[in-house]
Amino acid sequence: MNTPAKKSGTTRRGTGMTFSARARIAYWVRTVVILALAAVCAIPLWYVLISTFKSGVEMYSDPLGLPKHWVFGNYAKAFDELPIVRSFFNTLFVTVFGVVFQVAIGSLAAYGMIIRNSRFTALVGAVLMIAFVIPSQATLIPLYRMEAATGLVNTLPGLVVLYLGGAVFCYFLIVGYMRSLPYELIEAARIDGASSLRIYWTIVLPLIRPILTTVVVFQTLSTWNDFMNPNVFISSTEKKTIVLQVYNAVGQFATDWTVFMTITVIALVPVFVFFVLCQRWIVSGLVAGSVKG
Amino acid sequence: MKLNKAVRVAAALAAGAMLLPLAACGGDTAQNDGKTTLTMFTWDNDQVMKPYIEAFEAKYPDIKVDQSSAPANGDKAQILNTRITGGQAPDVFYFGNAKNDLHVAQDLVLDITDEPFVEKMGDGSRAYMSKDGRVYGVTSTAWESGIVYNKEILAKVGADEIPETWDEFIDLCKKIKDELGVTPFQEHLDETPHLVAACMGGHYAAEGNEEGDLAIINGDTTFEKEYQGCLTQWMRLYEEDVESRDSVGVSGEQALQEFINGNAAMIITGAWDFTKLNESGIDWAMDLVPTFEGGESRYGAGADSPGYAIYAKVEGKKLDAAKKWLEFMLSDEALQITADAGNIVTVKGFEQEIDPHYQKVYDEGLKLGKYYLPNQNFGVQSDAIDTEATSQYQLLVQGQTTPEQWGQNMDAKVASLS
Amino acid sequence: MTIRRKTKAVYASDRELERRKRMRNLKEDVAASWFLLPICAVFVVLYAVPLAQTLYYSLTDWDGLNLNPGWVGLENYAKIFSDASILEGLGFTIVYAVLTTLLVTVIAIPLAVQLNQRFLGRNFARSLFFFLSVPSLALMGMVWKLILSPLQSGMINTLLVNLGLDTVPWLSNSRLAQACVIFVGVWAQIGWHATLYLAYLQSIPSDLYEQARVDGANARQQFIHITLPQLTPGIVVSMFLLMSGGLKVYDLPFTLTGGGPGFATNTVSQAIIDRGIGQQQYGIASALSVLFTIAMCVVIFAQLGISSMIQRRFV
Repeated sequence: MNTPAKKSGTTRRGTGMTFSARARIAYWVRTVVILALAAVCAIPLWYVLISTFKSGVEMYSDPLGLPKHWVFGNYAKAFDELPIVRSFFNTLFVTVFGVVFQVAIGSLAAYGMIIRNSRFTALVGAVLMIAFVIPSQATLIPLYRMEAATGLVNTLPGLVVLYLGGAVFCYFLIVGYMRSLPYELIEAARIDGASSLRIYWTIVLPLIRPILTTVVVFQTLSTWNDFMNPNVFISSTEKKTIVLQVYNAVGQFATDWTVFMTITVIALVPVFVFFVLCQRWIVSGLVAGSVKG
Repeated sequence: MKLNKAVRVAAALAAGAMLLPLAACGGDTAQNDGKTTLTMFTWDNDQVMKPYIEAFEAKYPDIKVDQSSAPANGDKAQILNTRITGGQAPDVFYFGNAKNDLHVAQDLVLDITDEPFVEKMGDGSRAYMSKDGRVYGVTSTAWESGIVYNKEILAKVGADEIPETWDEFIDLCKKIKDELGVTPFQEHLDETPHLVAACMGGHYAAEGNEEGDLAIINGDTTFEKEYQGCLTQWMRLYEEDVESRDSVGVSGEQALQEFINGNAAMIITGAWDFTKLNESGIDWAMDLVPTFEGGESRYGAGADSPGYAIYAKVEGKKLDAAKKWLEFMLSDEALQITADAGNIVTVKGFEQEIDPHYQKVYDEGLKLGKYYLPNQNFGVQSDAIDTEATSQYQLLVQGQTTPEQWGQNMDAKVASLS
Repeated sequence: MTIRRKTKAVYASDRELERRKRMRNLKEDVAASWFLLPICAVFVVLYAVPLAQTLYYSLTDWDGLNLNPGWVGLENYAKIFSDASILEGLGFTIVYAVLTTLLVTVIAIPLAVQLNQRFLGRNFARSLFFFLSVPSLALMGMVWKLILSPLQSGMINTLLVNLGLDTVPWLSNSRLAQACVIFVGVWAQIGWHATLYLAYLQSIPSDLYEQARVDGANARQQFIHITLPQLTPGIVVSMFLLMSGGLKVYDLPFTLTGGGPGFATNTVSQAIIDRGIGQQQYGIASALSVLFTIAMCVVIFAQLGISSMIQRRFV
């Protein structure tokens, strides 16, 4: 473990000047290229954001420029016309519970798969893959009838139950990652007499933190963004999720695009905040985890 | 340390989320206290519905409306049908064109023929909501589109209105294109072209065919036979290079944008775009669609708007509440909201101020019932036929098919559905 | 503890060892089952039972409303094979799935590698790329429709005209419209897949690179001989997700092009929905779902098989 690090240290010192000069050029080239690419890719998002501060006419006539007159009325209109705060808490509820359960179920399953490699687990693994190939249109009506029969339809817990389906996705991502971990760590802990659950909690979970964060963030986003399930399963105004409000703003003939984009932005702001909070944690956690070590 | 922070954030979020169901429970019990809840699945979105619901709840304090809607570009029918089969049918749901409606065919819609409020509907609306002489729903509005033109651009070529005939219209377009280099006319093809709808309306009226396209669906005639004339005339726009074939990818929204930016001299649209047109600062006017050869004069594209029907199995207090809603939607109070939102009310005895831009189309088109929309007469499979028609129109404009093939393909589609 | 158990094992007879091993296997099977139980429950309730119901509907003439559908046997399946128009979306669906899978993979891996290096504004760039995948495809489809309008007033065309160029019929030309749908599909997914690869890059032991540097390997050689082989588990996962998601694609073409012009961007999922709702033929739509599920199974398992073969060669 120590030797290569030491060696590289000497190498770096040995060829000092040229290496750092080349590294510095690469650093700046990379900075310019990636930031330029990012800027181009972000144009649609910029378009959405900047349109929320424009009048409908200006949005058409000057799509990308800064507004000549900043309009804040779109936000006032959105908050005034739609129960956004209520929808926000509904979405928060289904997202938090949906994601926690999904990730818990998915990671436990992945762990179960790792600690025991038998025909039985291989079969379970193969069968689970089927979940990915079923088109959602095929299960929608049966699921609706199932939830209607159990009284879960048009309830927030009913939505959470639907989101548990994402556990298969979590499982799939996590198990792939777990396979790349050194199995000796688990083996060593087992020889030390730790219970399976304890190994999972104290050894495996910290090790899989990079993929866990990725999965949590991604599932949070997709649950927050989900439109199809609430659209079909929720019929009460006070139980609507925030994304439902966004789609509802699309009219049959004429859509007030600036208001539409405003609600889109409002719906995305919490996700953005969540992501920024997590981002610092993800990056620092990851870097501390392996690259520097 | 880092983990702690994340845990704290997560805990805070979870705590917030936990509070919610408590609040929801509290809310529910208070609301259900002695009130009748009327569930509703509407065509219009929540923003449009809000003023009606507020007025209705103020008028009937013991009724609470629980409304939902699906977005215009989503699958309204799928959601409604899913809820009905799941035993969660809304008490009141959107409803249009009783003759095309599968729910009527399956006895899922309440017959309201004998309700007194039905009498208030205009004759056209009443026919639209009826099947075999029985009335199943109410509606209060209709629409007809017309040609919206930029007065300044037309003035430059010496025109101050839309010409009477299709030939003259094509000439006007050519003049605008040659002399000014502006796009003369921009139509949208993400639905049946309004010009074709208008032409077919005139065609059926001249033929004396009251069923319209339903005669094709019933097997009395064919798309190939009926549509050939209109399609050939309409396609002159593209064959004589008046309009770009790029229109196939254009939505009504985008055509409007092109008009507002001053890139197009004329578009075809209806009252729903008036707000944006008035805000645009362009000096605009609206006129009837020109008369096509072989058709009745100056028909337009248009239809009655979807209204409301009651689910057949609603009973007791809910049934009373549901009827009150239908009645309310035809009351002066609700109609005023409807009119203020820019809709054209068709209810008998209701006077409304019409946007002056719309006066001509209103007086000479809508009021006389001179409007037509093919998909309103496609029968119970109208969605499937309409989707096919839209694709086929696009292929036609792209130059991949001929008007003749258009008809043959449509006839083949109808045959495949039966 | 450990030492005592080991000593004991040394004295145990072969048969005793065999028995103990079997016991341990059984115990581990049971333990593993406990961990797998919740996901099996989820699978049965949310996937298996609904799929079985769809299978049942596919053998009936259900119209989506009537509560007592009639039994028609395999008639619906026969109809699908005799009706060419029902599978008209198949071609584009395959092209979309394959091209987005390849393009996203080819772009996301180098992007992730670069995002893993040091540069100014790294956290910002990472967040931004990831954020491209945040708004749902259906929402962004509507926005992209405004951007890619074939008219002069479309956003990109406005820019082109300002540069003195001609407008481009983005969504009006069949080929271009297909390219646009694929482009937006790639745009929306590279960020998230790059993030996924980024997570996998973190698990590559850094001493591998140190060693390579000592051996005088340049950046490209490191990429080919270390990064790519080490990323294979990530590539398998990512390509699997792209492929299965791509074959099921529906909302993006629906909001961006509505399946047009003509039938150019129709998809299989769209066909299923059209049959089910537009044409009130849930029986046929269900049969189509079942066939589609089977076909997807074949494609996906073939893909998994091939990639695990490749993986074995590398690892």
